[in-house]
Amino acid sequence: MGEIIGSFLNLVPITLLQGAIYGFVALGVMLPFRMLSFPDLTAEGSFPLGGAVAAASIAAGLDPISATLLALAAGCVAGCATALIHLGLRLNTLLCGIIVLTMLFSVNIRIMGKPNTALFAFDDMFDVLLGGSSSDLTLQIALILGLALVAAGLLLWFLKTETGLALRAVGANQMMARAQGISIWRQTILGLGLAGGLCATGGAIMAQNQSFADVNMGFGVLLNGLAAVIVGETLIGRSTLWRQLLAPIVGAIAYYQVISFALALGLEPSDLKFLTGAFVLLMLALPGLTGRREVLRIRE
Amino acid sequence: MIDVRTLDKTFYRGTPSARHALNDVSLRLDEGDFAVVIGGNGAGKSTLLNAIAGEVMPDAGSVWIDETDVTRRPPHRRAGLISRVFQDPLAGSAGGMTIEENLALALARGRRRTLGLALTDTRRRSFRDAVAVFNLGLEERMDQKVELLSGGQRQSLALAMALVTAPRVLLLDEHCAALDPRTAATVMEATVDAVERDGLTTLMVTHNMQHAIDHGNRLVMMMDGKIIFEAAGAEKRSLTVEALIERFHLVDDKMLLV
Ligand SMILES: Nc1ncnc2c1ncn2[C@@H]1O[C@H](COP(=O)(O)OP(=O)(O)OP(=O)(O)O)[C@@H](O)[C@H]1O
Ligand SMILES: [Mg+2]
Repeated sequence: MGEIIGSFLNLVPITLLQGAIYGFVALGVMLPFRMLSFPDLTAEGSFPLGGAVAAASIAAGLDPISATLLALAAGCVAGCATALIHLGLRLNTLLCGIIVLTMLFSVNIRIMGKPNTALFAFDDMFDVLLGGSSSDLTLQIALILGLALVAAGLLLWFLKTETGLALRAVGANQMMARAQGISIWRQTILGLGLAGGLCATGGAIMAQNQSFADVNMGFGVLLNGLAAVIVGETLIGRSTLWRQLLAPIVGAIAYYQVISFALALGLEPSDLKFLTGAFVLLMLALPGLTGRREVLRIRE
Repeated sequence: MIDVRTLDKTFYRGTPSARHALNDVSLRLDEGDFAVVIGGNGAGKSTLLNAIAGEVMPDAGSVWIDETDVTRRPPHRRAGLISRVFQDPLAGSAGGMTIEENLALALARGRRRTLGLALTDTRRRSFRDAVAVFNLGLEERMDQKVELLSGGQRQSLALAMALVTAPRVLLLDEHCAALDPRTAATVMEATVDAVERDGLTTLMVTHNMQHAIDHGNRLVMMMDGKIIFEAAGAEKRSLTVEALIERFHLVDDKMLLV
């Protein structure tokens, strides 16, 4: 037992950092699901897209900050693509996400020119922002957590602007939104674009943190993000907008601690996808079993 | 003002379940007209309002507002001209948003939405005043989510949202039908007050014959997708519930109105 606790505690700092990075993804997963009632799978493709764009451009000599911003922009485009397919062809939202994430697999390999890119030889955003102490784990955690909180703060502000209100209205009631003069197209594109940008930023930071980008780095990331959102909402609720925005970050951190504990117990990393799936299923089933409101609403 | 010209709409055209919901409907309202629309279930009343709002695209005919043809404009692009209140109290507002956020949504109707904060102190104060007229205590709950409100409170909010910008046209589709009689009376009173105060051009669908007699300066009766009777001015004022029922045998066929 002491051994398990020991190896768990050893993993806490690195898991905290991972959790903070996945906080971006969880924010990007929460936004379409909760604000637009749009179940969106694009995260699974925009996360590695962010990693690929950041890695390829750093390897090509771009400075890491611009590379990260470029990754963000690429993620926005991916999100918009899903939105446009849904709006233009009136296809099921899940199918649109699957189409885009599958196509992104090829795109990501094209971007890197190969299935993965190593960054050990290059300066990354941690070197640029933290200088000589770039390998200090505490500083890394503070930096990424700080950035994730800034992202959540900006999103909070945005969702309280006139445009942000319109976006939330589309998720709440489309007929009413139209009657208020809101364009469903514009808000859906905007929301999914933002979400794609957040997921890709997570991927860009992850690639730089592990000095490595890989086309397969997105596998399972959507479910992890969803699990993080659900954990966060269970922990701090979503009764107000700021709770709803903090929940993904808190949830991502908590979720990766649980994962790390499972690993300390001796589970194989390959078991975790099953466990995450089982956990999400359980959380989705619970409200139904106890007669509470459904956890996820789905657009028509 | 509003000019509905020979509108025609068939749902499920060419199938056995085809429904001729609007059959050559023409209606012209002048500035400040308050028209009450009555008719049995399936008469085409909601379809007429939906066609004016742009939610239903007519097969033929056109809709003009302020001498402009808006027939091909999508609903969100004519929302600046039109305010609506629906029958379902849940349909008119966003449940997960607060009372004041919903009013802020409505305030930006018809203009470009900015990246400025939707709620300023000045706006908050004017929103409080806008809902205080209902005497339902809404002004004390401005920052609460709308899903916590009762049907009557929520419908009052929907009406306040419809009136927060002065619309060119107000469309009310049985907006009191889902409310208990007392709340219905409050909401109807607030409606009539606002319509008369601002001289709003209004189209109000109701199943309540007394409301149809009491309110408005025009009466429009629909049946099977057609306008079968219209009254205005003195003729409208002289109508009684009994006279209408007798004239149209309302009780013995599908025009049963209460
Ligand atoms: N979106 C739609 N799709 C298919 N059929 C429709 C649609 N809307 C209305 N209809 C049909 O058109 C006809 C007219 O319906 P409408 O809703 O306009 O009637 P109404 O006068 O509002 O009736 P009620 O008093 O019951 O509300 C009905 O036969 C209805 O079934
Ligand atoms: Mg109707």
